[in-house]
Amino acid sequence: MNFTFLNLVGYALLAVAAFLLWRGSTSLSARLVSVGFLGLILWGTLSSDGAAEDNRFRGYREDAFQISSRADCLGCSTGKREGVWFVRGTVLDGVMVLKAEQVVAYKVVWAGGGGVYLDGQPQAGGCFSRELAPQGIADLRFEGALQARLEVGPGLSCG
Amino acid sequence: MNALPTLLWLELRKSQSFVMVLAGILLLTAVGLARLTANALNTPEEEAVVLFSLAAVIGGTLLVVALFISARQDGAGLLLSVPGGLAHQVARFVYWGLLGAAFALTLALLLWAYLDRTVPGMPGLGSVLTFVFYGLGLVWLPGVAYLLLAFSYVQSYQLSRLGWLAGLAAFLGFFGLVDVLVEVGSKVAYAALPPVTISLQSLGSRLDDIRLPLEPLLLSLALAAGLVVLAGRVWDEVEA
Repeated sequence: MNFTFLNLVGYALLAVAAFLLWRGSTSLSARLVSVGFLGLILWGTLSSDGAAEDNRFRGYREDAFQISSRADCLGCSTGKREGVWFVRGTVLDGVMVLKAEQVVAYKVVWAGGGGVYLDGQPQAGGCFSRELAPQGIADLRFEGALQARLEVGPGLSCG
Repeated sequence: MNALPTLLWLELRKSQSFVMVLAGILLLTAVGLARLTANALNTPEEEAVVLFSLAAVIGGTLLVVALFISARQDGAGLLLSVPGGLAHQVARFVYWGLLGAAFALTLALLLWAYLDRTVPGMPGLGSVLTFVFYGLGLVWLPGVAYLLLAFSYVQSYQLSRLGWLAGLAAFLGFFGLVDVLVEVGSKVAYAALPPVTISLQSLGSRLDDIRLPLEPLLLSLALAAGLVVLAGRVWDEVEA
């Protein structure tokens, strides 16, 4: 719960509304529906106070590599399948930096959108893969790429 | 439930003009699709999709407005015996659910028929219909149920003149409900049931298959049923 002045005003208004709506109808169901609606509103304000809603994947780190992201990611998911770590989104927009601790390969696949840049160079073809030496850095920029996926792991190539 | 056909017919009587307008929108879309030509800026497929989105947005807004207006008119005075609140609400739910479904299906059918001719490897009609039915169950049916509940609920505050406050609560509560649904739905998605998969491989790109989780759909449908029952109870208590 947050107790700034505006929040307190909000809670007071909700309490007044609850009182009025409980008194205002003779129907028990309608009263309960009132309670439900006000509860939903309260829940909405509380949940938006707590965790800020954003669609950002911030980063990931393991022994072989670390990745930091300042990209907006809609419909984003990450995971690891058969030794290959991936982040994929319906829309990826922004910059991701991949830093290798050991030798790793990575692959970027995308379709649609504005394109993908590696170290400032536009990439073509919807897919590319590179290998990074230890301490190597890849600077990836997604420009409104629709359906993009970044994979990091051993032995990746655009088949 | 004997009254159901009569109530459905009453709903149709009340909303005849809107049905005409919706049919007109579909007709215009069909004519527009048939007359699309290439120009310098856009491909015909893009224009078809824009036309489709426009028709969908206008039609969807009209449907909600029509539901608003029709729910305010009381046509039940013509009935000899007064059916229960649940019968009323179920009739409205069925009518508006079907009307929205018919509109969405026809529109999707028109777009598909157009794209099937022009885009090579367009997924089959079955996939498109699956997608439309999924969307209807996920969004439209609970939406209709919520509107019906909100109307009866606001009406129960007519005597105390607090309809405006109740309306406000119902309006704001909607966003909270959507939040809760998204939160819960994304937690249970893919948990237990196999998703419905729509393959996009025939489009020849690297697009992943669309995997529609069934759990949020079931959640939405259960919510819709619950809201209709609740709306029926409110109706009964308001009339009494």
